[in-house]
Amino acid sequence: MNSLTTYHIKFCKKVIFLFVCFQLTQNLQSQNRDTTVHKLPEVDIIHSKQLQLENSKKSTFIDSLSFALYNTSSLSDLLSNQSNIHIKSYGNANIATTSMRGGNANHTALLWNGLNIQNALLGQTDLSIIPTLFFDNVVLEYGGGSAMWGSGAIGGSIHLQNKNRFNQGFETKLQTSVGSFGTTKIGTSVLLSYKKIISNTKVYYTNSDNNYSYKDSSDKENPTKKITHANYSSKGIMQEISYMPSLFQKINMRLWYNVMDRNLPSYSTAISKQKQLDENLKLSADWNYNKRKLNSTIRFGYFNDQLNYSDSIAQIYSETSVKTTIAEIDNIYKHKNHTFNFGINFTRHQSETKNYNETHDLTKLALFAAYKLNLLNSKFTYNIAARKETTNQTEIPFTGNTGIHYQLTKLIATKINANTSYRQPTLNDLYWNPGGNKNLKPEESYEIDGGIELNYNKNNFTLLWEATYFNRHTTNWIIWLPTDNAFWSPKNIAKVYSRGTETKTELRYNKKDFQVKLILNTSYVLSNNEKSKNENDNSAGKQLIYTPRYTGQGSISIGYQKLNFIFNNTYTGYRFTSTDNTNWLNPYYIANIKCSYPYSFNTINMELFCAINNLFNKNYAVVVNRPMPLRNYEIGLSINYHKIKKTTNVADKQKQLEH
Amino acid sequence: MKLVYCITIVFLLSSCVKDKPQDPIKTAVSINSDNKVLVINEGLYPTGNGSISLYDSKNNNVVTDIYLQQNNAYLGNVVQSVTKHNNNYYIVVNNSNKIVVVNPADFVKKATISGFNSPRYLLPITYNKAYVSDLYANSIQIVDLNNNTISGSITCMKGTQEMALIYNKAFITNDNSNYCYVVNTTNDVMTDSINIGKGASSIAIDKNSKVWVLTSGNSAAAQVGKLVRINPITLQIELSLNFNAGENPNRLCFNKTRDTLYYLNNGVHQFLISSTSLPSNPLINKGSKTYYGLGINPKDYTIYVADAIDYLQKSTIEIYKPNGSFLLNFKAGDISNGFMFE
Repeated sequence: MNSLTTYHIKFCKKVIFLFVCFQLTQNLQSQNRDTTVHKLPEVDIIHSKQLQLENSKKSTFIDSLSFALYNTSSLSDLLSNQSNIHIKSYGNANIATTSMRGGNANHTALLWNGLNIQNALLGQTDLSIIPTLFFDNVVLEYGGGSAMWGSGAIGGSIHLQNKNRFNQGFETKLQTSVGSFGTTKIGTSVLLSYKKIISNTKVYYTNSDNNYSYKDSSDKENPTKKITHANYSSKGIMQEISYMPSLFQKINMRLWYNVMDRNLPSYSTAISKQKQLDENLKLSADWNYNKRKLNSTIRFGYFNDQLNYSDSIAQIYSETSVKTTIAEIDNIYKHKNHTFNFGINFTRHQSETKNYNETHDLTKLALFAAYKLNLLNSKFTYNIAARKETTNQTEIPFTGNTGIHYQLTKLIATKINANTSYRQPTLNDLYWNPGGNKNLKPEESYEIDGGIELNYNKNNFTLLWEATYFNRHTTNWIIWLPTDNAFWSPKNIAKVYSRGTETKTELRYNKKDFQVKLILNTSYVLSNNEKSKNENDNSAGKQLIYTPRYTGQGSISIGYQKLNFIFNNTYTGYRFTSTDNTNWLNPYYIANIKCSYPYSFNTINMELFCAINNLFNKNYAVVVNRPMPLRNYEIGLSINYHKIKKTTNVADKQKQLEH
Repeated sequence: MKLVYCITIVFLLSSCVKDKPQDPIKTAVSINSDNKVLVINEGLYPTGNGSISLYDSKNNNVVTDIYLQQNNAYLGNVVQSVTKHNNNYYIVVNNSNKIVVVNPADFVKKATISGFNSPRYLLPITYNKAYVSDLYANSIQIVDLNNNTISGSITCMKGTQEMALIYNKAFITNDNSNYCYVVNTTNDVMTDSINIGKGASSIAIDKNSKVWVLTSGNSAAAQVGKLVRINPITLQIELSLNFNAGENPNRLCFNKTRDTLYYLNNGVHQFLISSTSLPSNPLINKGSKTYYGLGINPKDYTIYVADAIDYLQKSTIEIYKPNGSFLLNFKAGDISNGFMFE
């Protein structure tokens, strides 16, 4: 085992070293090229609040090529391969949650077009049930952001975004794929985009036996085992309607519905009877008014999230649902080099579960404001944001965020931020019967971070490099502990100190029909428990469980003529499974290949795509006793028909307004 | 300039704490010591690192995982109990659904008995026959210890726990039903059931051959915990003492002379079998600890208590003098639930 681990580390170091070398050589060769080909369009970054008001924070987005290649995957698959956020996955297509900057699953906020969609009962969302197909862009924001996004944005935030453009004509796409473990996927989209109205429909269906093999190192006689009772099917629809009544107004309406029905395997008993059914309905509507200096948005959201779990062996039959209503008014006002933001948010969560004695509601009212100052032709920006939230349950602290972004030279920029953030106790923390603790206080964090950014452009080359350091203290951290009375109860007991460095390197080279892009993301995070629970407790000063110290992600994307190719690598270091750090899981290094090749026939575009996941056939587990699949494959075909409309003045004007 | 970036990148990647954790330091304990104490460690659920720690009470030495050391393999997932019989240790591994038979002299595995649903405890009936209780099977399994196979079963509601044998009667606790079941061990037929209330999982027999059962109660069924004395001949309840609502008494143990009971109830309590009321104050205060396992060393009457802390790390075993004063402590495996004294 030791030699294997050493091999892992050595190999990973080699890969990282190769990346660095490759980047360097590419960079040196780049000097004398002059043509610029934008074959792979960079993502159309959404005109988001975050970018307008908080440019001093680290944020990354997943480029459109990678995004397109993960079209048939879940959000958990996309993020575990294309970012260096640690995704805690309990098996293939099993529950997957996040860990950003040393936080746990409750410390990442998940937002859909500005609406917080975190499940209020759990305070986290299972990313394995969210289809990538539904969205046009995913933005990852690092660090605390409660002043902007409210509860839960302690380690970072994930923004799922939809973006439709008017007057694009008619486009339809059908894609289907088959993969290992009896997996079939089918998805289709129909876009009708006219001058004033857009309808965009996306539908998918996935079915899988999911009966993959793995190696059980504890069983020397029969190490090769197969996962059984893990089959799943998922389906869903996203319907968007956008309407532009005048040049200054836009109305968006969206419906998101998905169902995932899965059997869950047992890793302890011979037979499993565990089943989980997730059903999510999300409706949103927003009206945007954008004229001269004022940009106002009124948003509404209604979500119904149902989660049913049953295990007839252990006699657990749990049915929970939570209905969320959100109403928000958000205004941005620009005057010369000043940008003001102010608004109000009302959120209500209504629980329906037998796990509580009675139904409980959580009602929140938040007032928020932000300000950004641009100086020296926007080379220097200063931003500040604040939020005060009141709820019918817990007292919420006043939270704030402030930062500076300074473009020192054309090449180098520096950033510095400080924020206080919080996480409200979940409804389960407060009301679970038995054990729920009504007297819980919110978790509070104080974080500072700073970084340096390099942006180098020459001829066909672009180099982006960013290094960040963060330092965060979290108090009143909630953990469930055994009580005197046989059940467990949450307490505001832990103090956690998290700090670390992150690097992001991106190198692009374009020439005629050739484009290559290299990405390397690394993070090194120490996240320690600071407090002993009693005199026998050995967890003080130790790394939190399931929080890797080292993670890295690197990819090479190549577009040559019509071929798109991506070779992706991720490395995750040791994760401890016990709070005294005496039990751990070995690191894993996973590589994937994805490629696509199109063939055009008049206005019909056909594309063949394939993927090899876990290329080097590594036996690994993210969570103890939850093996992940060995090497596996996916092959598929997509057919795209696009009837383009001529650009008219309306669209031009709209574009001008957006910029 | 580019060289500077490159050096910075390499520097950032190669700095920092060594990621590889240190393996635990191994200590040697003579397996043939007369002062052996076995600590039963369930292991972190669901890691499958259940273990037996071997403690030498004379020299205060401990081997955290003696089975792993002697067999170079893990015992399995949730080690529930150990019973010594026929000069064998029968180690019941609950979630791995097996019983591992090891040689007490060297801890080397001799056999595995498999085919259980969720085994909990083993009760030797005769030289070659034992009963095994089960959490999820609606039966007690009969095991043939000669060839280490399941030879039969006795229908019984699921949720069976500790068992005791006297006068050819096996008394079987069940934490799921209201009853303590009685099985005639000569023909393996259930003959009686005694209504004692829900949450029974520990049982012991005193010096007067009376059966004592401790129930934890059940808050959903509005039942409080009870300490019950049963006459094994008449099957009558002779004494029944109620705990307070919300209390969760468990882990009933006897001392060597079997005249004093010990149990956990927010601390370690001591109860003389001649008493007619429950003690209100504990002999050993719990403080902020999580007491999960209890045992009384028959050699010196010392009290062994396991603190599971947060159920996510190695337990601390605390040893107290018979009067309740603290003697010493040591670290065992993860989530220690009990002891076996040689």
